[in-house]
Amino acid sequence: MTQLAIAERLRATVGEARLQSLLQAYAESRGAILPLAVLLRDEGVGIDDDVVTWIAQTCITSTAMVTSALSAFPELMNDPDSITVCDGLSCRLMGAGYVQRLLRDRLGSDRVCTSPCQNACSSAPIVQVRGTLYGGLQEASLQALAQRLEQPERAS
Amino acid sequence: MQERRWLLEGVERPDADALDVYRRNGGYDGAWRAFDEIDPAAVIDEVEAAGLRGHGGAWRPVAARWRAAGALGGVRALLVDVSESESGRFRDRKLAERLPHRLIEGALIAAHALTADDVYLCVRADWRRARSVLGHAMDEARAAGWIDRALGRSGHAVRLHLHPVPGPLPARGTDQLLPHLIECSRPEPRASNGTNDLPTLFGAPVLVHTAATLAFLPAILARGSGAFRELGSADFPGTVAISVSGHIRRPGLFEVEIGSGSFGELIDTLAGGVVDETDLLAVFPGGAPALDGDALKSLQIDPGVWSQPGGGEHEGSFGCGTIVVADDAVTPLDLAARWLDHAAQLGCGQCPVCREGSVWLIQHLQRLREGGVTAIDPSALQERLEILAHGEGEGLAICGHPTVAAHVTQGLLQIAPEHVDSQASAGATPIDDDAPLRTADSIHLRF
Repeated sequence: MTQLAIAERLRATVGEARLQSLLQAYAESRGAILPLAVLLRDEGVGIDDDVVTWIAQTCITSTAMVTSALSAFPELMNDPDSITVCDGLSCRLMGAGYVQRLLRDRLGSDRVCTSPCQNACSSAPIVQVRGTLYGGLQEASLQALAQRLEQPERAS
Repeated sequence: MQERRWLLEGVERPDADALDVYRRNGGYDGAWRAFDEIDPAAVIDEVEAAGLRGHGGAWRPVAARWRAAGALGGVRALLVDVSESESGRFRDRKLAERLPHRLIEGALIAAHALTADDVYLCVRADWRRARSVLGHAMDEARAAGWIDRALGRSGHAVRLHLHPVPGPLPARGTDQLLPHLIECSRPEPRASNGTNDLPTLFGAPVLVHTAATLAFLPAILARGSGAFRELGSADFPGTVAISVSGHIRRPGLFEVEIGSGSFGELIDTLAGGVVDETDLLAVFPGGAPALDGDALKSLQIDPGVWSQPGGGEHEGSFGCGTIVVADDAVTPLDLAARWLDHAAQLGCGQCPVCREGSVWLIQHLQRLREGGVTAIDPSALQERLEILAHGEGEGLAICGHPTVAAHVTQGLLQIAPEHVDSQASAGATPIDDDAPLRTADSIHLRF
């Protein structure tokens, strides 16, 4: 199924009423671009050109406006299954560099990205996978997490 | 020193995020009083009597901001910053995930005082749990008639919207930045237009508040301004939630009375002390120069002792009171390089002084770290840091982001200037990737 078909299915799932409510929350409907893109992302929909066009039509704006808005959201353009290692100051102090290196070695660089700060610093070092935080990582828990993530279908 | 919870009251209660639990413990009583028993002007009077100031870092009196907004013709919407625009802070995320109804109630009270009809809760898009919990709490509040429906004798209906924003954002300037983000413009702070200080959203004036500021309102309205005034100092009443992380035995979020003790007491009594009894460094990501252990330990938890905003003797800003503590496993130079890298990443790129200045400083700090003081021109480095530090004040930068970057770096470089050469090492990278994993003994209010 194409990303566009998934987006259309989402329209049916979310419902026209909720979609209209989202659009009406803003004086100009372009305000709904980011909430809509995040909603799609939460449902596991990747943002490709067809989806950008779909968002633009839904929000009655141009694809250029949607693309510009999404450029501020690098995490939206990442693979929804990518693994985010927090690279904030506290996480760095607690070994985030080691966590990044280990996960990249085990899972491949293309699956692992970093975030400037996830703001859960008391639980440093932190890894986020599909919205779930794994904090206070120690060697054993990090190795166990890496092992689970090596099998993507069971990693959530 | 002990915790005094106003903002975080009930945070450890089971199901603290549920509406029925919140209501059983007095939740929404403050909103009901504001909407049913008194008028918006009386709400502002109550907040003024409490002396509540904004907890976003600037510590501006809340009631004065509301009155000023009214004098400028009022606002159409309230924007709530739930994005923690500084590394090391985890207060508003914790509020959103554990006490969403307090945040919603506070936003309702503020919107009523401002006679605004719309509230946008601007939450970091990548905090999926926070968005989910807040969204669920909004559904509960809507079903119970607290939002989207005329409330009490005032008949005022407030609509709440959850708006995802990217993050982290630059350390300063969110007042002007958040409306820009909702309009889907580039994530860049705007310059104030000089005649009307209110930011605008789609052409309509709005006011921006930090989540924690609003979350104080329910208790102030329910318990009265007098109880709040009894805590803290005359100029800075109440409590403050301090985010403590880094090389600490028990990192976490600690709410204490303003002026009730020092950071040393907080670290030793509430945060379990430092991991190793070695030389300490402390970074205040909110804009104060970094400090060494001795200076940190005697420093009072009070915005009033800082030059900004209290006119105190310490140069810089208390910010939100966030601290990141490092032991001697890292050098001040390591930490400064890391900090500048972080600041450069978060800069929006609009202002040359910040965009070019940060990169220049990163390059020279790297040369300093690899080759010692003979590899650079120290006076040029200091000069560039000064330019960065005063960028906003001298009109070279739109926001205070470069000021925060420079203050922290200046502090770190001044901690042990005589030892800069010994901190340098060939091939140095900011806080080594091979540094071992370290984990706290326990975590206070774990995520």
